[in-house]
Amino acid sequence: MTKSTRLFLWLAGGVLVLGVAMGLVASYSGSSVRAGAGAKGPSELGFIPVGARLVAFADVREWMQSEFQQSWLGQQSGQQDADEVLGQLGVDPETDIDSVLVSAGGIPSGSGLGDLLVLVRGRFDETRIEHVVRERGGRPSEYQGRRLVQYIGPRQQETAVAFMEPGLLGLGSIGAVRQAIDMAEGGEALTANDEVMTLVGGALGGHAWAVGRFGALAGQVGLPQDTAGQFSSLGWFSASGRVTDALEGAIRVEAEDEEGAANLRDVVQGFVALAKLQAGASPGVPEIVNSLQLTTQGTTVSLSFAVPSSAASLLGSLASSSTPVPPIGSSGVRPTPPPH
Amino acid sequence: MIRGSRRLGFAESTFRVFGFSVGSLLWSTRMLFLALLSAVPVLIALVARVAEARGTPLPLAGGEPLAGTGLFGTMVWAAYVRFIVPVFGVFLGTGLIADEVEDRTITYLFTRPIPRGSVLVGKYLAYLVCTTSVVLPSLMLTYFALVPLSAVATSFPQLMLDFAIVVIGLATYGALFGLVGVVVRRSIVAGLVFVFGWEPLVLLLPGYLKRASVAFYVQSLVPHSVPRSEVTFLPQLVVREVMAPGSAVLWLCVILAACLALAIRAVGRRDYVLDQ
Repeated sequence: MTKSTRLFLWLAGGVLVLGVAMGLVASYSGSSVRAGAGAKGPSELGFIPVGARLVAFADVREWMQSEFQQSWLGQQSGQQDADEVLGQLGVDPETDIDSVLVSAGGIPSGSGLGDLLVLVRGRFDETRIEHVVRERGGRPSEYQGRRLVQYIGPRQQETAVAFMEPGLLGLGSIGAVRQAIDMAEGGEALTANDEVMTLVGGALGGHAWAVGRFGALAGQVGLPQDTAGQFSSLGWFSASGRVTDALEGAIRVEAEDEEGAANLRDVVQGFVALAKLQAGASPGVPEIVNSLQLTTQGTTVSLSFAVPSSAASLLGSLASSSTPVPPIGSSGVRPTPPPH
Repeated sequence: MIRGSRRLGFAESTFRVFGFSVGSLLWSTRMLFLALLSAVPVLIALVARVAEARGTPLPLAGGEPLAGTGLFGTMVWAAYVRFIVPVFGVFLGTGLIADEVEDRTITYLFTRPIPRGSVLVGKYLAYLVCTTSVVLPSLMLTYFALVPLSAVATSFPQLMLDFAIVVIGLATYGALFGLVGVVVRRSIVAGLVFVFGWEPLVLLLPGYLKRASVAFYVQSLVPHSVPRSEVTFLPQLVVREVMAPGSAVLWLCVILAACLALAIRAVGRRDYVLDQ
């Protein structure tokens, strides 16, 4: 091997080693931001701001493969709009989506949950998604090196779709999406909140879980002021569910003191008793109501339940009676005028 | 040069053939042409980067401007996997033995006290080292030209995957065309027909015929990191049907091993009678 050959090979190797070293350093810097999340919970938590008041996660793949889902699917109707949107985007929820994480409250707005952020992990055709959103008035841009397409959402709010990292799609208000990108660049993420991460750690066994501020949730659903006042002593809640041939879950609420926990237990007990009285009215309800277990331990009130696959029809009919999501570009979407 | 009459073992003779083949392959006119070819994506990436910085991104995907990781994914797919890798395989793989025959130097190699198969294997290893030392830095430079530093942390694992795909593609195409160069007289023409005629055709046809190509297995590894949509500007590159990545790697390894074994067998049995 001649000297010039050796020199060329060393040069080529040097370029590769330098590039790989740069990439590794950048990857290490980026991953260290989300290191806490990696150890406990999905890595998407690294994109959620520390002040988030609700975070919910669903393992879509497990859900899609469960027997319970098959029973549920048999009862679904009126999903054509959602299917049409997914079809346009080239996304098959059964094969292309692994998990979905929703957070709210990173940018607080009044008593509600604030700006919503949805992070979907899976396999996406980025070009196609961007093309579809742009066809409907979306404006593409770059933010912190990530592709972002803004459009006016169904409620006339500025919405954005961003490709956070390969295989991770971010969707939500423009503020929430930009904030999530900032988190990836080194902002203080939810993983730094020990209180929330303890609750997340407790809920991790489930295929779906949620952790949030009870007050923010009560504000979001628009409870009457006197009713909402009764929940003012409640702090964080966590919910966790597993799907196999049945849907098993538990909801835990932390009250500020034992008196608050006792009040909540009484309220829930009342609802459970009412449900038991009316259980015979609808098929499937007795199985669900009979599975309800209410327990109180100190300041924690827990309610566990199980929905057998035979009762999935009830949930399915409830879900299909709800209003379907309007597709992108339907009458609810106002195309954004091109920038001058 | 190999001196002495002592018959060398397979590994030692392979290493010696590899040693002198690297230099002759690296500084050949053909390699110079291919190195210029592999510099084209780097230039395109730099132009795209400058255009994007000026606020006028290049309309590369069906009129839709692409940038950053999206454009890099498209370039890996279109420029490297579907063009540069097969072209390197055709022009350098077919020449492993055929060039020695054409230059009438094959007899000098085969009169040495070394196993004939080691000539092919040594030259094949030299091909691997030379091609990867040209294509991988090109891919690396394209990546850093297109992807902003802030997005490197998240997209870097994808680059490592692309490296692996390119290396396995070069290895498989090299073995395949090494065999073609041994058994077919006009091997470059046959290789070009295979790469630009047969493979694009069978990839578009439904059924199992696409499995009789290398591109099907290589592209089965790629769709996880590049666009798959109708808006891609070269729709003939889009493979609708793909194989699970693990199975694709297994099949590529089988093709590689089978082609190398057949090429070694063919070199060992064939009588090279040179035209006067």
